[in-house]
Amino acid sequence: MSTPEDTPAPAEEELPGEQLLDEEAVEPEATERREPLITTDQFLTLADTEDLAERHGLTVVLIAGEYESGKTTLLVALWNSLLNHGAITDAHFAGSRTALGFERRAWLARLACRGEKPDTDRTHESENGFLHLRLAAHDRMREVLLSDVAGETFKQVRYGTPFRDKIEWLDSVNVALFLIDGGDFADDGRRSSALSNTRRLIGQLRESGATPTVAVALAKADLITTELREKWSREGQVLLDLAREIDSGAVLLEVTARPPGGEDPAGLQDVLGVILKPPSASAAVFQPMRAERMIGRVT
Amino acid sequence: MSERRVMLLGLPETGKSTFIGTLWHFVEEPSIEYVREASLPGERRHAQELAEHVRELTEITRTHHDADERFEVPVEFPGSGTVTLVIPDRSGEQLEGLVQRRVWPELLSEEVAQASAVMLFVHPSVITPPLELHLLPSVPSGEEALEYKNPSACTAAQLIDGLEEVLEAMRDRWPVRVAVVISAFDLADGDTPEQWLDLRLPAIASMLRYDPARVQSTVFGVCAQGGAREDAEEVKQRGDLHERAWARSAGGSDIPFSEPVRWALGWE
Repeated sequence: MSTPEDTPAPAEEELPGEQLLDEEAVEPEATERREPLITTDQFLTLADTEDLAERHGLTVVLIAGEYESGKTTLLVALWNSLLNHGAITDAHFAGSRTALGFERRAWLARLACRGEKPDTDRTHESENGFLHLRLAAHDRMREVLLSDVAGETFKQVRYGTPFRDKIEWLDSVNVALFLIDGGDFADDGRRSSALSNTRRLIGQLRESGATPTVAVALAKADLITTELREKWSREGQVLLDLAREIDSGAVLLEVTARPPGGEDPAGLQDVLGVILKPPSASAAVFQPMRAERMIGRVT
Repeated sequence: MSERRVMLLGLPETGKSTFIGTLWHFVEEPSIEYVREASLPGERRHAQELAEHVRELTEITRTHHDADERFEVPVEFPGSGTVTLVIPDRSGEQLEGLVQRRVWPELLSEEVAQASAVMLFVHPSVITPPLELHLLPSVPSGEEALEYKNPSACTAAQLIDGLEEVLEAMRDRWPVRVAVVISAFDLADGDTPEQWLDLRLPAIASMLRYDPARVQSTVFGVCAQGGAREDAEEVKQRGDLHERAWARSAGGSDIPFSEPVRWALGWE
């Protein structure tokens, strides 16, 4: 379960005994301290979602990529777009169990935080988990779990730790979205390692034997200049060919989650198009038996 | 025609008490026939005091609108049935506690357990939009960003979170009827209530529209005082409270002031 940052402890012993004898003397806030805590706000684990799975079935999305490749920023862009428009093309917002988790991740790009420029907090491994969106699309309700997993986790996978050892819910994943940082690709000094790291991650998923729907997304695509377009077409195709060894229908996407000029994000509809694509017969199915197995933390 | 309970929910200062005060005035007004006092036991003092405050456009004190006592208002719709309107104790704080402090207040739990339907109050002047940082041309350098706390969440996110919790707690009564009541709708600049919600809180509008198996909803605009408290003398010259207070349907038609309650109960 997630743990809110500033939740008061629900302990009766915090209240002096003599005050408990006199109800009028008990502060309202103290009274609430004995009341049930809501623990699912910053993120969910699969164990928190069995009722969602029963209702509509889950679509579990693994968003994979290096440090600062834009994984959390993509989540924030999806959330902000749904808050501001109620829908992303024909995917209509119908609820979220993690509204406050999205808000925390969106905070450093909000006017109210009084920061100098939009930013996104780095996700730490202890916070690995899911954010939830309920979306109505194509006459169906979808309960979508979007992973927010630290770059450190994927670094370990890239170094050779089996995917399933780091992502224990791998067999529940319906969609794997690999992000490659457009800023790294645009940088002559970082391009090669960005491509190599992404290839390794995709290769590790192939080695795991998992068979989700796969997409490779160029994040921060606005940083790709016209001169780099041809190079990206060529290198992107290499990544795509590798991804198609896992999913023959794998696609290549481009996303600009936080355009520098403050325009609406680009490419979100394509991301949702992959996520909300009707599941194939071979798609992973949420397995309740695995619900107690979680990533990065224990309830 | 059994007794039903409608729970009034909303963040603090969203017009729940003002609505009750005006509704009670309608209940007591002899010329109004579509709603009247129900012959049920219960304390009427709060309702009468609220009605007095709204009539006179005086401030509703904390004692009245967030009293630490159960606040129930029984009313009857002739030909349909009776209903007990419930404002949970310290109602605004209860929802705030649920959303911001992550606790289920015991008294709110009790009310949710008994409620047949929900009226969700929103006030046009009490909305924090999810404004993004790039909208600000420049910020003086050297300022540290403020730390996130749950109360910093935008209004839509707080309402989404609160609704999720309440709807889950009412799972055995799905689909739950939720009447969204936009208070002080005279501030809405000519929009219909439905247009206003789509424009100002689009995620809430979508959430309530696209999951009909869980929630059925419509939206109303009400002007419970007939104008702003700051313009009290001018507003009072427009007539008695039942002559100056008004309500509009989702599409902007004039409707009886009590209609949001009837709709919540399925008595359209």
